[in-house]
Amino acid sequence: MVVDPRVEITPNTGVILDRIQVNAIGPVRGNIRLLNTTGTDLPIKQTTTWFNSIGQYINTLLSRPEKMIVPRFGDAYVELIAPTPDAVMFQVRVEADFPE
Amino acid sequence: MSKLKYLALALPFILGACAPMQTTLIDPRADRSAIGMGLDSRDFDQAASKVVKDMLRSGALDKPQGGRYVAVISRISNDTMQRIDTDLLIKNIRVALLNSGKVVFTTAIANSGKGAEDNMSMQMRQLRSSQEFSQANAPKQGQMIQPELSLSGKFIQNNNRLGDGSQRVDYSFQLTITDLRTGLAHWEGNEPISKLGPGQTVAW
Repeated sequence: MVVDPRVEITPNTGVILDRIQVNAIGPVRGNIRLLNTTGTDLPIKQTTTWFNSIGQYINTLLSRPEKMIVPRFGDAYVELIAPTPDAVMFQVRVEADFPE
Repeated sequence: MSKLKYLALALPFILGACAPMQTTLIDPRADRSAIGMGLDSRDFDQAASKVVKDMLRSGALDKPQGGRYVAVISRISNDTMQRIDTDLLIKNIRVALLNSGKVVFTTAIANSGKGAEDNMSMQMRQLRSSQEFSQANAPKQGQMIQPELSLSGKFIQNNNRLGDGSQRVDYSFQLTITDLRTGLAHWEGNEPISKLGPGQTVAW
């Protein structure tokens, strides 16, 4: 299990952060591997928020929530691609997508 | 008398149940409303986001000599059973690609039969001979830029009744970026959205 301040996983999600790979040469690109070590498929919602070099929020389509299912004993990847040339920082939030 | 008493007791609950749902604003980042078998903005946002990521990752939009490609929207057909404005998806993609700094779209031409997406580029050129207008801002001949890429696509829907009485609806957003000089498809994508729901639900 990896802890990275750029990835926030809410406690009730059931998934863990396994790996984060980021290439910061040129436009920021990378991916985040989430692991499900339980025997249940876990629906999650990930939101990647992007910021420019002075910390301003960038309003972009790529920051809209994305629904995913992390299969039982399986993994899922969150893909990171800078939406604009000035997007240099990101924050990923992973939360459970269970119906209320 | 006792019936009347029961009715009086039940009346507040009956009225409460009939109270209209209060209108609330939806923040896309905290949208917990139920999903349906049809398509809503969440589906278009998610499909567009995945398509744009795929386009950017593929390198198909990285111009070898640097700079931005000029692109045009070609035919986008809606073959689903729903009445959808294809711009619900395409506009999202256009905005994201423009913001990426890799593509700029021309609005001076449009898919056949529609003339231009924005007619004003051509209408303004008709003012060149007008004595009423200063010609300081008049566009010169040959200033419009021809597109290098076109974006075309199709939305497809497929409904299936399953053995347990439920219904599965598969939507597919198929998009192609064509190099207009060579006619070759530089990038192709197919973004599926599949939904499973009760058989009684109507998905159109």
